[in-house]
Amino acid sequence: MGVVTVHMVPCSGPEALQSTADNLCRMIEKLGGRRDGVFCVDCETYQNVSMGRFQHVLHDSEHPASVFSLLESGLCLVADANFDSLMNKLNPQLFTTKIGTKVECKGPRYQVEDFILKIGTVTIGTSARGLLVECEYQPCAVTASCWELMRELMEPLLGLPLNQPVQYLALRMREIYTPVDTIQQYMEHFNALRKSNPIQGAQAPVSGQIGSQANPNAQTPVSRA
Amino acid sequence: MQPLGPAVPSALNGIAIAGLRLGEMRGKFEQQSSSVRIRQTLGGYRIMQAEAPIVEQPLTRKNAANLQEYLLQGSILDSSADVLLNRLRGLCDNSDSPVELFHDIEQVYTIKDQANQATFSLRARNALDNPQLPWQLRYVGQPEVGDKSRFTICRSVIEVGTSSNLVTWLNELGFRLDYEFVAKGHIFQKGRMKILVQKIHRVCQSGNPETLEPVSQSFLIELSVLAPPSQESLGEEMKAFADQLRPLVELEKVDHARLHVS
Repeated sequence: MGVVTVHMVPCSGPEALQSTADNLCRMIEKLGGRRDGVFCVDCETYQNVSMGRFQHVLHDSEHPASVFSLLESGLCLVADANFDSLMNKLNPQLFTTKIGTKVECKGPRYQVEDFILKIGTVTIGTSARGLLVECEYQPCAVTASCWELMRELMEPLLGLPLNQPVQYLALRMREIYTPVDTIQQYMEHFNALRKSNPIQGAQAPVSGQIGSQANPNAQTPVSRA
Repeated sequence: MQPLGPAVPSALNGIAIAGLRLGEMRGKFEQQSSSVRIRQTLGGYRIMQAEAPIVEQPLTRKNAANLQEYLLQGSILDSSADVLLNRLRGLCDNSDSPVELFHDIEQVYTIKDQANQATFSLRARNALDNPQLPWQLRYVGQPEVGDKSRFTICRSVIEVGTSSNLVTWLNELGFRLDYEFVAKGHIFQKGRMKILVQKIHRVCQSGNPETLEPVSQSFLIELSVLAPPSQESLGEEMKAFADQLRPLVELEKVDHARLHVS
């Protein structure tokens, strides 16, 4: 894997979420992006019954055989898929989770030359909270060596100047990038979105809907009927 | 030899698997749902474009099958261990390859649920001779020994391969080290059965696995299979194999509750 940066896309209102996602998809397709499936990152938060400590359990479709357990201190345990069975066993005696607090970020995945771009709508429970763009530059493993290149691609997409990477990455510019760094960035955004107010009236988009409007020629049998 | 302390039976309870060698990392790379576009042109019209919904299969595996460990245990004196090893080498698979060795440390961490006064324990295991192998986190359930129709101990086991920061992770979650031991020995495989011939060592200085002291002058033998529940035929298969090791070693289902020294 290469270096990944995850950015929040500014959205002005509830309607803007869907249209902003569609606009981004269109821009990426204009750049020569080839739609290459979908992605999903999810996060379930458990609380230790006796100590009250939180544990975030994350999955990333880019690493389907791994489960990431992130603690409040930032420590991240990478485990294999059996970790879910273990959490099922320890829930609810040792760890509890609240219904409706699961965070999911899902959407289309594009390949643009050496980059992989993902547009993900973040939902908490059933309410849509925000839009994230993930950009991966595959040929490089050190952020400092490819940040300028990624910035050049991301600035027009986000419509914002990016003076430096997100805080987590800015502290690790010269380190070898690992999948845990991606998870940490998602967690930072998920935490920020959890604290924010839900976008009133915004509904989670129907699966597969994002990006389907990007290609005006794309029609489903239903829409033709 | 020191008298067996209370930790010993608990240790016996926990050494069923030196699973690092058998590569029990069961994380299979699932094929993720990918966007499938079927485009057909018929009479100049694009008639169908079907897209798979976003990640059809949830990433969290809520209904992952719980595996049961079927287990038989026995012991043999050090002086006779070589005879047993030779017999196992002949009986087990890959008899022409060198016997696989292991040298693992296992640490048992516990946490108390203050509301119910219940204690949960998780086991962290690492290969001392090959530390870059994944650590192993294990949950071992209460063994079912009461069923007289069943020939083996049966208990729920979940094994998870993890990164090397497992011990820090357990500590930060509030788990505390209860006891630790080092298991050193040989591992054999016969079909789906795993046979361990191992020497259990007490760690004299906590945190220093070099300072070891054998718990007894015997090797512990374990015959185990990880399988879905209700596999009654498995007991017969294991019994047949255990019979072939007689009279060198008597493999039995051991009631660990009775071993605890009061």
